[in-house]
Amino acid sequence: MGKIEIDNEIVIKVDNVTKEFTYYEDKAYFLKERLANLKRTRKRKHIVLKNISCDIKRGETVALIGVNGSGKSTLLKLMSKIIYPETGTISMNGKVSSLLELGAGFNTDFTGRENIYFNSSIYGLGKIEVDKVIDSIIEFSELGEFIDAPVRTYSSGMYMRLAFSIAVNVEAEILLIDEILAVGDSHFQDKCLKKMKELKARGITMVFVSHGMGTVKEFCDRALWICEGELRMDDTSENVVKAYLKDQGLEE
Amino acid sequence: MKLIEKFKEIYKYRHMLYTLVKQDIRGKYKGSFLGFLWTLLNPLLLLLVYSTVFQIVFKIDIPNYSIYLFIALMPWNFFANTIAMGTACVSNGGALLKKVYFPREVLPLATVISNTINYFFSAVIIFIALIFFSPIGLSWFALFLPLIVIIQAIFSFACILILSALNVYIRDVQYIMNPLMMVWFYATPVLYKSDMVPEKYSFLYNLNPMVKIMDAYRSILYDKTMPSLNWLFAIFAGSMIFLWIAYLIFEKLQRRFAEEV
Repeated sequence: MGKIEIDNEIVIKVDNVTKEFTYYEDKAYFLKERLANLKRTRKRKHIVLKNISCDIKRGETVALIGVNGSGKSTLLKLMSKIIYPETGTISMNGKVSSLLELGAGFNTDFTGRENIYFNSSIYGLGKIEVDKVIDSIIEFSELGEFIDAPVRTYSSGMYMRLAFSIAVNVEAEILLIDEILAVGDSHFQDKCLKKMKELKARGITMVFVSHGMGTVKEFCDRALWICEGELRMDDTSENVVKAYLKDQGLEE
Repeated sequence: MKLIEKFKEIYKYRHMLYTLVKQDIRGKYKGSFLGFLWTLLNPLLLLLVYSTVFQIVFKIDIPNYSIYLFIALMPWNFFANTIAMGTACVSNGGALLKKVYFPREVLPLATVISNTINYFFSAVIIFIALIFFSPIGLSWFALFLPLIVIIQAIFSFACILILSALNVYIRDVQYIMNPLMMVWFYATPVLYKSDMVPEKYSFLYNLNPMVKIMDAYRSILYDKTMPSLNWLFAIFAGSMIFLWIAYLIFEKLQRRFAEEV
C-alpha cells in the first residue's frame, strides 16, 4: 500500500466528550400536554458517549467500529457540529463535508439538479463554482435523466448516490461518512470505494462508520472501537478489527 | 462564539442564504407576474374591507383614507408575514437541521431578507397608488423609505430569532402568535392615527416600536414631511440591543435544535 505523507497537524480534536440524550416516554410538544403530563412525564437519561478523547491528524483515514447503538453515529454527528456535547470540546480544523445516516437534507420537491445547487451552497459553493463540478456530480451519481426529476421520486439507492456524489465533490478537507457502503448495489459500492481511495491519496481526512470489516482493514489506517459509549480500542485498523472480531466471537 | 466570528461564519454561508432567499421568493411568485398579484390579493381585500367599514360605518375623519390606510397596511403585512413565517422557519427546517451543519441563524435571516425584498416589490404598488390613484403624489421624503424598512427588518429579525427558537421546544408559540398579532395590529396605528390615542396612555402606547415606525411611513408618504429622526434612531438603537439579546437566546437554544426538532 502506498503510504501518503502525513504531517502531524491535528485536524480533529475530540477532548473528553460526553453526550447524553434525554428520552421522554411521551414527548410533549405542546404546552397542554406539558401541563397535563407535569407529574407523569418520565425523563430517562441515556449516556451515549462517555469521556471520549482522540486526535485525528491530517490525511488520516479512520474507521469507527462497534455494534449497533454503541455511539458511533453520535460521535460522527458531534464531529459535524449538528449536535453538541454535554461536556468536553470538539474542534475541527478545515472544511467539513458530511453524509450522515441516510440523507443529506434534500428538499424532496425539488429536482436532483436543484438539490445539487442547494446542497453545495451549504458547503459554501456559489453557482459559478457548482457549474464547474455539476457535470462530474451528475456523472458520478449515474442518475442520467432522473437528475431533473423531483427527489421524492427517487429510490433510496438513487438518493444516496446523489448524496454521496455531492459530498465527495464539494472540495472538503474533512469527510465524515456514516455507513454509506450499506446502500447501493455492489457496482456503486466499488465506485464509492475507488473515489474514497482517490480522496485519500489527495490527503483528505476521512472518518467513517462501517460494519464491513474487510473494507476497514483494507482502506483505513486506523480504527476506533466504540463499545457502550466508551472508546475501547484505538489502534491500527488491522489490530482493532482482529480484536473486535474476536470479541464478537467471529474469528477470521 | 464571538459576534465577529459569527458574522464571518454567516458570510461563509452567503451562498446558502442566497439560495434560500431565492427559493422563498421564487416559490411565492413561481416566476410569473400573476403570481405576484396573488400575493397582493390578501392586503388589497383587507384594504377594501377596512376602508369601507371605516369610511362608511365609522365615518372616520381622515382625508384620502384608503391610501392613508394602504401606506401602513402594506408594511404591517410585511411585519405580520415575517413573524408568521419566521416563527415556523426553524421547526420546518427539520430535515436539513438533522443532516447538515450550517449556522442556524441563516434560516430566520433568510426569512427576513426575502420578506424585505417582497416588501420593496409591493412598495412599488404603493408608489403607483400614490401617484395615479390619489391626489397626494410622491415627494423626495419617500427616499427615507429604505431606512425605515431596514429598521423594521432589524426589529423583526430580533423577534423571530427568539420566536423561532422557542417554537422548536414549544410548538404552541406559532399558534399563540396568531391572536397575539391581531392584538398587536390594533395596538399599532394602521387603521387610525397615532395621535387619536389619549395622552394618558401615550407612554404605554409608545412602548410598541411599531407605532413610531408606522408614523414614519405616514410622515414620508402621506404627510410628505421629515420623519422623526430622533424616534427612528431610538428605535434603531433599541432594536440593536434587542437583537443582541435575541441572538444570545437563540445561541443558547440552538444547541439542541437537531435533537428536539
